Amino acid sequence: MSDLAPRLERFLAKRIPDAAAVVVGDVEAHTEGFSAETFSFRAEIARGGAREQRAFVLKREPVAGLLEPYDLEPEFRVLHALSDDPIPSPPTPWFERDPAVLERPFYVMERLPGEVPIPAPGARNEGPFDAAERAALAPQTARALAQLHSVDWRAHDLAFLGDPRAASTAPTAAAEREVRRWEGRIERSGFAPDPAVREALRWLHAHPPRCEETVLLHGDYRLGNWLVERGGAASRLTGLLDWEMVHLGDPVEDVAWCISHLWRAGTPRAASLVAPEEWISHYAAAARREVDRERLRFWELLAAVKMIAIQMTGIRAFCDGRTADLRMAIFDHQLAFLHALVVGLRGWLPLP
Amino acid sequence: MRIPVETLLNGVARALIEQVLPHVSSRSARGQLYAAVDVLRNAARRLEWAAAPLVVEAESAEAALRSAAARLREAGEAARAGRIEARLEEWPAGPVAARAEAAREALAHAFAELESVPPALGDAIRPILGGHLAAQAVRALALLQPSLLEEISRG
Repeated sequence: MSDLAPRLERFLAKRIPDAAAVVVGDVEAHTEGFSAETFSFRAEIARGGAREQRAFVLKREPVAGLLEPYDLEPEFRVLHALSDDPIPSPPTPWFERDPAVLERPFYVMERLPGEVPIPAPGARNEGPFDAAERAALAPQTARALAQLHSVDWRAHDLAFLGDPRAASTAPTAAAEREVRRWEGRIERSGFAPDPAVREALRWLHAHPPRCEETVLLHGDYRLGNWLVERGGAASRLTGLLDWEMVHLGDPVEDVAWCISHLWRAGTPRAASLVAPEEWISHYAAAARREVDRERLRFWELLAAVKMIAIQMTGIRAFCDGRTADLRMAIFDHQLAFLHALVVGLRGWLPLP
Repeated sequence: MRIPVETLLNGVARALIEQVLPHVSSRSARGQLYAAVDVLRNAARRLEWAAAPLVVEAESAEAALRSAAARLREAGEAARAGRIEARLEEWPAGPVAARAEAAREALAHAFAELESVPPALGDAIRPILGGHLAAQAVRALALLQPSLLEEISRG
């Protein structure tokens, strides 16, 4: 969309009624996220004789992609509800569904300081952080997740996300719902899952863990969705991004996703930060909640299956010609890593 | 691989035209880009995924399934063993992709059979099938080139 800047100027002028003028510049598309379309931009807002410089990020529903069918509104409602909380989620003032504005639904959030570390091994196979950054960020990321899990989601009017215990009184309801959710996505992709995945699903159906509490889950809490200001021992976690998979459920689900082999960036460390057990200890201390290892085992396996479901959805979108985004095509060979991870988590292949 | 070769190559050509070409200003680079698209479009109908890895996969699966069936028979589960072996006999002789797909289906079926045997027997036999899955995973990983995920993410 070549006329994004003038469209955004008209949108912001309406949403900021006392603005005499809005000038948008530095519009840039970002490639870090593989799902919703992300653009950063600056806005100069003139009002009351003064000019104010603001930095924003816009997220727009893609035509097709990894988490289709898309609906950014739940994510917006959560971010909007948390805008005044101490959780480092970006303040998110506006959502727009009218296709006349930017063709597809989108929301706008404040741009927070920091950068998104890429979950890749890097030149020295050390992951994106040096030792001082790792020591600083490990407890911060664990504390932020504990803080998120302590949000009173009922008081924030987030029950619309769906309490798994409301639909079923079974203490395994959260786990069962998530297995069904991701198995359903695999089925809708139309591809036959690998036999390792089918066996894993069979195991997951047979071993749903009990969970007596329901908390607000980020759903994609991991290296790659954090904003970080680097500065050695003074490094700071400044933002939590990409809330597309936000939902209610078992807190261990987020813990397992965060420490998963998926995001270790070629290192043996959870999120490339510290040993998984150490990260879990930070979380347990901050959340005042023990992390049951059997529950963790279930959610780690489901994390791998979930990633497979996400990638198969993207492959389907590419196969059907609904997207020309070649990043969807790379998942066809990347699935080999995930199949190996599933086999490893089932105990048949050593994991690093 | 789930994406047919023709779909993949035509998809790459489409992305080059729609997403790369508009940002290439050099005439010589545009010429090279059009040549790449031309090559991809013409290769698309002439290529198919390599057969050799599929042959190895099917052979490995068959060995694991026969071994699992033998263990079941030894344990007095002749009917289950027979069902696993019967599936092997039904595998198509070719094409090789169909044979590999039949192998994957047969593995899933064999795991399902193990759900209703005594737990200790199931626990003893699953690693036989798991061993094939592990070997298959290693073979698939060996085909991969070093990942460009970091470059793809950074742009």
